[in-house]
Amino acid sequence: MREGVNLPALLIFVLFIVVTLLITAWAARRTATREQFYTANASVSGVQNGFAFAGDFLSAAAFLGVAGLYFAAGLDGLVYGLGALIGWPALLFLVADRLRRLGRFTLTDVLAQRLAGRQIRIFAGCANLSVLAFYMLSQMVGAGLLINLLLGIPFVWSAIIVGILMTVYVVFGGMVATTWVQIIKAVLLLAAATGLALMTFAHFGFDFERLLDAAVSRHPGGNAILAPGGLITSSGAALSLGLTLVFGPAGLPHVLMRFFTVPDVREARRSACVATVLIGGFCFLMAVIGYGSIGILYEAVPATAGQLQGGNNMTALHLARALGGDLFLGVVAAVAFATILAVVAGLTLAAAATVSHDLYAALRTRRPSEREELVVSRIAALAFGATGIALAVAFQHENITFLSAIAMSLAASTTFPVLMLALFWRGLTTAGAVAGGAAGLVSALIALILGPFVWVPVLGHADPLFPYPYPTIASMPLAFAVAFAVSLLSARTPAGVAQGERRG
Amino acid sequence: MGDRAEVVAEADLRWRGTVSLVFSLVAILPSLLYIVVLPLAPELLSRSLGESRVTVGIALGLGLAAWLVVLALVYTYYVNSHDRSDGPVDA
Repeated sequence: MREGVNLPALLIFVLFIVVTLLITAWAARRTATREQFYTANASVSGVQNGFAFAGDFLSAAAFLGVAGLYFAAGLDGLVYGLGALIGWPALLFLVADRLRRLGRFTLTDVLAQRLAGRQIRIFAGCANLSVLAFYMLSQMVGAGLLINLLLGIPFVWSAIIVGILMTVYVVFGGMVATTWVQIIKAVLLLAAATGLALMTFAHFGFDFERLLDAAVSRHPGGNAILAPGGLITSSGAALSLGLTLVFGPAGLPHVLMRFFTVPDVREARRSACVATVLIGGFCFLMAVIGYGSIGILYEAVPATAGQLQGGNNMTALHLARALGGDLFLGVVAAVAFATILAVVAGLTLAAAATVSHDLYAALRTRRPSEREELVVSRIAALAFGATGIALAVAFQHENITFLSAIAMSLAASTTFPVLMLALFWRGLTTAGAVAGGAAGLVSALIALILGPFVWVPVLGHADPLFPYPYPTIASMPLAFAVAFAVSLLSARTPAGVAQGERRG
Repeated sequence: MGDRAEVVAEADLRWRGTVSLVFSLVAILPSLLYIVVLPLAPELLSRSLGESRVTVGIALGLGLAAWLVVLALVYTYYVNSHDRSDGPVDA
């Protein structure tokens, strides 16, 4: 894909950066209190928040990765495309209502409403940071590779540019700037995907049968691209992947935190609904783009054995160039860049809130003042940004899929079970929450190391000891079981009562 | 007055809990089922719908996306138009 700098792409990159920095400057004047910094003073409307949710959740993988998967394997692309959508019912139906009623700034606030504050804040803070760090790492490595590929900027500088921008958005603009960066990104991404899908559909006379005919006749796999491929090999692996995709999003701290930016429960539901509609629509667009790319690119672009120049992740960009020339390629490439920035900004803000509001406040003997907490937030955002850059450089050759798998599995195995029990079961105790969350965290990490991502390719063994790439099938039930058992046991002891568990 | 308010709040809580549980089941179970069926019944999913190129796998996948969107719209409209409370909720 890299054939010198694409001028339209560069201009749109610069325009996006200038606009978002102007928004940050505007937001900085509205970010003086904790409420404004963490939650934009709960002043974001449901529709705006829905767009921000979509901007936060639709990563570059959902666009470039899924298009590439369609191009390589057909129906498997649809399955992974659905992965961005099927977590939203749990968020909307199970979480949005109770979370918005109970929480103030972070997920930990919700847990602290039910359970003795200090221990649960420290545990939840550490669990949140673990999830956010792995999620950030996967995004930063992906960002570095993508910008390097699109613009020819070396990986290290790509990571530094992304790291500096996301830190500036958060340190100066807090949730207000982050929200607007994500809204703009969602609008750009959906507009670009709609444009690309319409041009693709028009190429085949708006006839889906013709589009599929062309794909089947040109792909070496023929009819096989209309059937499940080899990405999911067993029912156990499928169930584990399904549990990760369905329940993982409901444990992601940066996604949950967004529910506190709206004024009330109705707007919280409305925002999750808008996000579901946008992400659902995106699945349909990707089906047209994905299958259409096979029909068009196998004819228009030299593709050897299904491998595009720059790799299959560049499918959407090749398609944009084939249909709209360098200008449209520039637009789509710039949107991919915006996509990354919006996601990492949300992660940085959630990490800053976790450190300052949850961990720092819990570790101090006296409650920090609002001003002190805000200073700590900004220092934490700076530190998280710098750490993100350093880790991205250190792990630049790691498998991005594996890094994403860790983040989603940890969320489904650690924060999700504890949050569900805190929201729906009066019997949960602090000891149960901490023990269950810790069991989920440790077992997920161990299963990942013993699984096919690490045990075979990294440690050089012949067969994995844990058979599935995603550990959620084992670690999530274990977290629930341990939390349940320890809660029952600790509730009977005087210490369990004396801990001061709050039962609503 | 206080007792009556508590009774209403308790009934409202139960109603919202039931609605969210029903919607969760009809959304999450088909999602998990679709993914689990992929390796179990590839022949079924690769079968064409009549003369069309569209296979059962594609139809079910896109149908699932549409189903989840419809459920989200119905749930939000229904619960938002019936929910009278905004206060803190009990577990």
